[in-house]
Amino acid sequence: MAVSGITQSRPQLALDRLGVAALLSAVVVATALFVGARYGALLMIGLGLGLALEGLRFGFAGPWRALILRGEPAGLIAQLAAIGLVALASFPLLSGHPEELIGAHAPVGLAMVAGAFVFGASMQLVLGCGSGTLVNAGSGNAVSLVALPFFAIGSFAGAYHLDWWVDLGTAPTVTMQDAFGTTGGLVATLLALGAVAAVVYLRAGTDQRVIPRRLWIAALVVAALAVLNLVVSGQPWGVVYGLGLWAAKGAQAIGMDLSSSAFWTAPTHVTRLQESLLTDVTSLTNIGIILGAFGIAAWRGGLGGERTHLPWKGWAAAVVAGLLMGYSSRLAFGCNVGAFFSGISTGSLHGWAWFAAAFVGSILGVRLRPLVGLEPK
Amino acid sequence: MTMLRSRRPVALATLLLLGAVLALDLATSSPPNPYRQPAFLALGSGEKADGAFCAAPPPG
Repeated sequence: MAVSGITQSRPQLALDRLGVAALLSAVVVATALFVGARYGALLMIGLGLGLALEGLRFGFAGPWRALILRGEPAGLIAQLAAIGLVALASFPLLSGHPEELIGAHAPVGLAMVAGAFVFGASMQLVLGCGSGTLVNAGSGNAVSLVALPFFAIGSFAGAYHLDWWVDLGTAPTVTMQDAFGTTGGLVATLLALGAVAAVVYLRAGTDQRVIPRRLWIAALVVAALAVLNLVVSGQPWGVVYGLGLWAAKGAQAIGMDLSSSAFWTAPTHVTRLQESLLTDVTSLTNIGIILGAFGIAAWRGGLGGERTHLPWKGWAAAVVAGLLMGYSSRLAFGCNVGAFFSGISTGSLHGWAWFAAAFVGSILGVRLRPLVGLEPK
Repeated sequence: MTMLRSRRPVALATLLLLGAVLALDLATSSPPNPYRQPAFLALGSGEKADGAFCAAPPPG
């Protein structure tokens, strides 16, 4: 895998920093001027997420792996803290403004749970979840760059077939707000998050019970940006829909007929297909995450590290894992961001089901990773 | 040669891929119209999000 060691000269680093600052500023200003202020703001929120995720090394797949292999709870506890912070804001916001804001509410079902399981396993193969694949590709990780287009194609295909999978067996959508009311639902969510955090904390060895300050800062920043995403766009932070839309646009451009898909012919998605990606919420934050991760990697000279070297089997596994992540996350009504992070923080029961199934899938994925050529045996 | 072995070409390839996606998009979509844009904040706008989101259920 990647070994750092190729040093970057000071003039080269200065040039990188100047170029990156100019590029990112220009992209945001141009989007705000030529597309709209809201869209410029969403791009900035994405940039902030990319900077925070890469700069403070806040992720999802890596911390789950650390917990599974070494019992380290820090990363998961930081995730749970961020989700709890978002819940504190989003529950009252959703309750007070139901005509303007929507939560990441989706039903639990057979395909949903199976999709989350497969996503959990696949994200451990490439060590990058929905947001992680974007961050890693932007910061020069070749495995994620290879997986990303296939992630998008898988997401498009999963959405294409979504109605068939949902018909296999799906319960009505259940939210914590429905079950316990707004305040009761918020309290139940915070208690459940706290209980999970307490279990993994107490199971860890005493020397592993340290949570680095950067993770607390990252949790705070990511939570603030997620709440901003809800306030600005009216919907929670997501990743997968945007990637599927990118592939759907490509399919349309090469003449593929989407008229047999119930999903892609629904009025909302037809509009998205007709309008520019620069007016699509998840596309804008996805673009921002890639650019933000690129920016922080270039800023600190991280692009000088040695790139990934894998056997052919490893690259093939990255392609398959990318496809599976995209397809399964559509069946699961989101990835680690849209279902786990945003689902739980806005009160959807499917977020909790996603968490459980994806974590079990991750245990399998961690075991499979050396077998498919993605890490030294 | 050293640069080719670094992460830099991979990161630049990611940006090129992103640029290609946006170029294709701008060539095939309705051009963005800044004079017909939504309110800066959805909160307080009186308009609901369109539902183009990961948790969106299939229609019907």
